Amino acid sequence: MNNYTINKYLDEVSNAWRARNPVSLSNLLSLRHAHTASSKLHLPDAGSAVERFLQNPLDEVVVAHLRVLWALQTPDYAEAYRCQSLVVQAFSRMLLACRDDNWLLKAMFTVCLDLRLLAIQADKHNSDKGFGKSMEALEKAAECFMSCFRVCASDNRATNDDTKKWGMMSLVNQLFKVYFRVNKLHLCKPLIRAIDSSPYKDLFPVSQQVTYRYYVGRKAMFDSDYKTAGEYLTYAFERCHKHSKRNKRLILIYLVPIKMILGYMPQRKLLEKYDLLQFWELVQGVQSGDVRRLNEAMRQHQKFFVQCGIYLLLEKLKVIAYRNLFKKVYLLQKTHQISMEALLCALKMMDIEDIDLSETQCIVANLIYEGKIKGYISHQHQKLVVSKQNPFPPLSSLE
Amino acid sequence: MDYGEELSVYGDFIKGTCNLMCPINERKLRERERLLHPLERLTQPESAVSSTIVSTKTNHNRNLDLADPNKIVKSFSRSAAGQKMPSPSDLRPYSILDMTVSYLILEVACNGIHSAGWADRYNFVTDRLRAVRQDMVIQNLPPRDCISLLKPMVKFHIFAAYWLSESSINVFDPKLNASFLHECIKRLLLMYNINRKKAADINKEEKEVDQKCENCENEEHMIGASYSLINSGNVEALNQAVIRLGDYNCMPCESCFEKKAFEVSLATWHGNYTKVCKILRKLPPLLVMAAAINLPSIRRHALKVMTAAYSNKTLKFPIDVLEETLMWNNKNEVVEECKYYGISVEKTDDMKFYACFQKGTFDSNVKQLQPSRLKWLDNTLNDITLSKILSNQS
Repeated sequence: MNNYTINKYLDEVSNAWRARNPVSLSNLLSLRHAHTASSKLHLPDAGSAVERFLQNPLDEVVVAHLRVLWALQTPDYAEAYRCQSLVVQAFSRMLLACRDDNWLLKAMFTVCLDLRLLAIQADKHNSDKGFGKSMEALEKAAECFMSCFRVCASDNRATNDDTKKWGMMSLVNQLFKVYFRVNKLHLCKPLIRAIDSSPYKDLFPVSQQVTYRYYVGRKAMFDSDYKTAGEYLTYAFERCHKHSKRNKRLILIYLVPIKMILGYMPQRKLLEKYDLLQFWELVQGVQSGDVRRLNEAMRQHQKFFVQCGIYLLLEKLKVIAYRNLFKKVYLLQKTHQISMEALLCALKMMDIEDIDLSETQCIVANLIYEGKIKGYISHQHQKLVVSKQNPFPPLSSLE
Repeated sequence: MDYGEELSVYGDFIKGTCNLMCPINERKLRERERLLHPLERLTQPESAVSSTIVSTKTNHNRNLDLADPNKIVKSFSRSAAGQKMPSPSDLRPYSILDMTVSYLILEVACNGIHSAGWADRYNFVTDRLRAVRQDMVIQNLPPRDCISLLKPMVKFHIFAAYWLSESSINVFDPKLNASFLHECIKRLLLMYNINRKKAADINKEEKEVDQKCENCENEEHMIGASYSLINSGNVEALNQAVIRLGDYNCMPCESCFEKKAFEVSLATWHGNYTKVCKILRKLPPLLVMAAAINLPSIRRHALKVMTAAYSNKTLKFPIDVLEETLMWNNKNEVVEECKYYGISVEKTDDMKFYACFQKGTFDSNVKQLQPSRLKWLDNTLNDITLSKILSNQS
């Protein structure tokens, strides 16, 4: 394909356009297709040549696309990024003009995906040189996606088969990827609402649904809504293609600790299969109420957990470890009136620094408040009095 | 990359030439339009004041319209459409900005903090500091300079949030102050970040040293700690703190305030009110102030948890213990707050107060109480100790 001439290329674009062939148009505008290798297409300004072949606004898209190819050759990532955002902007106008039809969506996905990847490259080069805000290009890219999103979301008149609303979820996924990377999660909320209120909510392709639910699940996790997070991530994990092992692993990184908080411990086999044995020590620590072991495991793999953004989530596991520890004390003492001293002693055995009776009471009080222990504290007698029936209800039974 | 090189990348920024705290144009304008703040007017001997008041009523008090050149400070004006780009003579270079901030904080703010008129000083300083930030941004000062300007501003707004927390909304708007505080502290942390990255680039070849931070005199840790405490228990702030603590080259020592502040925030998130107050007591004054704003919500949560956890028809909980654990000033305050949230309080024959926690009695609908000051902290504060806290000597 190295000798793809400009005329041949434009001819093909023109044919794809006239035949309304989504796949070939998408390929011809992709930065990852074979035509990009041809040096004859690396044109900084192909305006006059393109105008003869193609109509507005398609010509704008193609001229900008060819300039991107040229800039990538230099390589000037900032310029390539700038021109790719011109591609997307012109494309969104083209999309708007193309009434009652949605065959352009496939090409739209392609140019948007390329824009995001280029933005990441551009930002990387910028920050390597030491200037520019660290993720400026990526944040700006989100605005381009939004202009496409608005076109898609507001396409109300077309029939079910022809509506551009089918493009919404893929764009939302692109936007999620940006927002999670630039750490602006609050911007996800209106997007989730848009999808939730769409009649096509559950009809989008499974691959898109998996991505979508992965991000919505993570968002719920940040909002401490573990139940919702568990549901969304479980869907993502179960429907994710079995050959996409890397993606399944990514989902598990969040699903495992969330399930643990909800009271379900993973099996070692599963963690082994997905190379996530970092969690195994945690599981054992939580299960046996061994807070010391849990703390050590957290310290040992701290870098990994922080990178994944789940450090805080694991902090929540401590509460469960405390519950299990106190349950052990209860089982050992075989009484419904457990002295605070005994609980304090157990905590001290776990190498918890600076702990005293007052703080022990506070930890127990929070456990009772959250329903993880049934009973009450008597300050006067310094005792925890637990219920005769089911004093430590299973976590999975809690709301 | 040094600053000169950066300029060539970004294009040139305007450089101020004004060598006074207030540009001459503005001074003339404000004298003419009589827009001088009382703190900016030329002061005169008592006798002169009274005589002018008596003698001139029609002939407008001339002295009132004259500014003291050493006291007048450029005021904030919103940048808006139609306004001209300020000329270099209206902008103050770093050295003058630095002097202005010192004047505002040390001379104006640290003066008469126990008098009723301090809120006026607060409003004056807040406005003038805002103008300083505007000059700073327009000239795109390098991180190092921004850091030294923003640091005292952050401390000032933390102090104000605490000191005026009991005032009525007419006197002090906590929301507005919080937004200034956030603006300053976020920019400051960003500047520290840039600086740290630059330093890391320079030292790339050298082996990473896990030095201990020495007694935590590091101001960056102090500001990071303040940020954690202001946003105590906030998930996003906690995540940021985890990353920041991991980013530092030094191993935070056990007494590192930023680490302590992180523990407070984490304990708040866990609802561990005992631990929050326990650590708080050991923090330096500025950090206690930053944290004190959150005490009402911590106490509210504590009482809510305790109503469920200590719920029993016959048992009672001594008020003294509550007072001690949750840092109230006196028993009265505890009794009032318990009653406020619907918890009944009993007085025994030996004149001791007890809270009777009963499941379901906690009133979640009443609004959270306004923050209040801590007596033991206030007793240590006066103009001199405050100036030490706000300048870098705390």
